[in-house]
Amino acid sequence: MLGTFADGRSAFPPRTLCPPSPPLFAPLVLISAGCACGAALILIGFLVLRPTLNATTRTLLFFGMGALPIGAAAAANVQGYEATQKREFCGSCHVMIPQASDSIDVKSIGLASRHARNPYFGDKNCYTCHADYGMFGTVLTKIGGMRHVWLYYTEFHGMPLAEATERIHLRKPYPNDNCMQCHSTELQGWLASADHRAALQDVRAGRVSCASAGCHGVAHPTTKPPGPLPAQLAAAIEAGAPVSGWGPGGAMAEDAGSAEAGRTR
Amino acid sequence: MSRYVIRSSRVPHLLRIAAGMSLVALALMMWSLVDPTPAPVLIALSLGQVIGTVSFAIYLSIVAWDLRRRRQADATPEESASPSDLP
Repeated sequence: MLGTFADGRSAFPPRTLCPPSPPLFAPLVLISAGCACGAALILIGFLVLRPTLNATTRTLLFFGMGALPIGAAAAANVQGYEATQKREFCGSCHVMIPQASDSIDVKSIGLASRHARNPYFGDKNCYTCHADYGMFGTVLTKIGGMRHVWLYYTEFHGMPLAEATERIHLRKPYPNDNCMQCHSTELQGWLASADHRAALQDVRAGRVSCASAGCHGVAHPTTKPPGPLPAQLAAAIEAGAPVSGWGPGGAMAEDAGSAEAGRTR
Repeated sequence: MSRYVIRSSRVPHLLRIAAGMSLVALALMMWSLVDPTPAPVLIALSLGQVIGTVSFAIYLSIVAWDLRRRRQADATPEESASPSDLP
């Protein structure tokens, strides 16, 4: 059944994620707010008082329209970038609540949850695993994130969670490179496993996914195989029929794992 | 000379528009700090940046125009606009 673990637990815990609380006293927030307030005072004063454009006014306008807003924007950009890496940010879209909630569920045995309990991941466990690896990984990740936001506001925003959970699926196989950022295949600890040694070349080449059913299992209880939805499932969703069998505990999970492994590059 | 007078009369209006745009950009940035969810953050990082940049560009273009006008006025004082023409 979609949204349940193999042991029958629901992937939708009764609790929901609260919206991210702004760190109002973070240094960057204070810097940004201070610069913005200073600029706003200058600009409002200019608009209300309408002073003559002498040297003093132009200097003040330089700070009001240039220096202070640039300072505010720089601090806000860094703070915003930090915010986009946090789990609460990902979970603030309702369609991501199952994944985000599962990852902080201390009783969950899902791959994502086990990683989220690692203190090195902290509250950035979504980003740590989903950020692309490499020189342009951050940029590519942010571009992909923009696509997610676009899809959310154009397609999924008003969609009930259950329906959205059935529709959302991996667009492409989860790259093993992301796993290998931490789990290097060069380390003796990793090579100590006979299964790892046997699949070494396939794992490095991406022919076998680390997060496939035959290996470490799918990351989230709602994970579905990558690529477009199968015609049968798409037709069922289109017809409004209940869709079951997807997920790690379902009958199609094995197919999903096989498909995922097969489609991995 | 008339060209400068016409442009000079536009300067305060342009600056007020730029000031208003700056305020909008600042408001968007503050919104993203207070409510760090996808919509505010992305709007601030995209639309807010564009509005703020255009605002500053208007200010800089006015400064550049003013410097150019003053330079020309120094070169040909008899043909330039008098200080009273400026706002």
